[in-house]
Amino acid sequence: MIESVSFEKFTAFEKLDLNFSPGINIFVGENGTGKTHILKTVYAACDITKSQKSFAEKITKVFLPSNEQTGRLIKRASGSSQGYVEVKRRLKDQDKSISLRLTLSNHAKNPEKTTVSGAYKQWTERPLDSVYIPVKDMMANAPGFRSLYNLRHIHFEEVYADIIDRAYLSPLKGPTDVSRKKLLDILQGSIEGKVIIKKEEFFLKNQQGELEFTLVAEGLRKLALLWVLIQNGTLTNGSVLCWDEPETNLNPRLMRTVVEILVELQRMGVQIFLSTHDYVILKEFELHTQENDQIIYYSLHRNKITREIEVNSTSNYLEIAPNAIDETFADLVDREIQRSMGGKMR
Amino acid sequence: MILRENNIQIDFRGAIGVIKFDEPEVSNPNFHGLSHCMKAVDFIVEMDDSYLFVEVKDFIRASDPIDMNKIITSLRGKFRDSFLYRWAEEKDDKPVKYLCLLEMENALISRMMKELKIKLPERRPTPRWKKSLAETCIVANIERWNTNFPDWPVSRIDSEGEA
Repeated sequence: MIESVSFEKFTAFEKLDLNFSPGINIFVGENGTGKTHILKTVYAACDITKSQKSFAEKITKVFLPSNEQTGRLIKRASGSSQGYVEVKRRLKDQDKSISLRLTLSNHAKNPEKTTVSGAYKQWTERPLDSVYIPVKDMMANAPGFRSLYNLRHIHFEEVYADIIDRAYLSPLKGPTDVSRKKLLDILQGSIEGKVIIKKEEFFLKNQQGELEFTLVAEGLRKLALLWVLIQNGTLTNGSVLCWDEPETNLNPRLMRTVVEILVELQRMGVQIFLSTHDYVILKEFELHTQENDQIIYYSLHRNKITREIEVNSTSNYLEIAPNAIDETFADLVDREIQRSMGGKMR
Repeated sequence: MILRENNIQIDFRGAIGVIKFDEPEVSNPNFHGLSHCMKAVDFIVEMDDSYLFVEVKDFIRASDPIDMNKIITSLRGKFRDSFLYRWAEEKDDKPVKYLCLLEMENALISRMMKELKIKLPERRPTPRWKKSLAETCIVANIERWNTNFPDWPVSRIDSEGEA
């Protein structure tokens, strides 16, 4: 599992330290407070254990700074500056943690001009399955995308190519264990079918026939993707799931299913990182989790004076503060009260 | 003029008069006396241009999940019975505003307010009505109340009665 992440002068962060829950980690905050950056960092650190890429290269591909100049990931400042990102990981069967640090200056033109320190060898020798589900759906556009991405410099963050790779993995061999079957059944109930792949193209298959993904509602494609990732064993005990705004294009009714699945995955041992702007998602987590579930909410916000990004964390849904989602509702309530009372109070 | 319901108190500054409308004390001149057959809002506040019917409920401390329909039915029942009671008292000479102070999160407040406006119903919901039961109704939690009604501050009081 990923234990913590520290940033200094990296992307939007001046200085930020985050300690994670081994279960569910939920990031809330207004746009531009770095939620996606945290998810991408965690994912890049996990992915290199399988892809064997250098940490610097993966970070660069995943964040995709202009012209892939890694130094552009340093927080903007006048003159020269140096920063780092450090990820700490707990090894599953050993009672110890190892860390990986990427140090770079804003002059670094490419990944080779950066420094990686820490237990890099041990880090990459111990595989950690991970998946990053980006905001935009890629399943419908999968055919040919991967080969195009590999052959040419098309301007897509690597998370988009990676998610397709994960989805293309063939199903796990042997009988499906009980906990996975339960999740697959829940998802099949919502998407009303199963997913099959033919020549790199995804189809939703049910009694009516096979429906190509371009004709499937985008919200359902998200659930279908989850189905595929569980079926092919990408999401299994000890793996890490990063999901950027699961609510995008999802009918609020389906959020219940999504959260139910996520809470169950956590119980199976999947570590989850997700960002959200959505009240229903947050509320569903509150309603679905029980005492033994491990969940931490992180509120990212800018300090009113320094304007730098800070974080408050809590395991209690009601204590999330500041809560940008709740503040939006508060504003709606205020305007409705004012309109009801004729625009003037008293 | 300060009114108190359980551990929540409201200071209705500038009011002409305030009464605890569901007063259970027989010796009190405002004794309700019909609680066996009529429901009642907590307070009625007389302002220059209106009567405020005020209902206070603290769900933050409730252990049961919030049942929206049950709450709306209860709020509606209290309002209508109180309205009839006031009509019988001939104290129906000013428009009525229904203010519900419910301690719950903002997202639920928003939904609750919408439902209450429809189910009460507020204003004149049909052209056949020449007057309205409630000129308006609003739902607010303590934070929203204090933001929108700074002249009528609400506070929580501890068991010793300290605000």
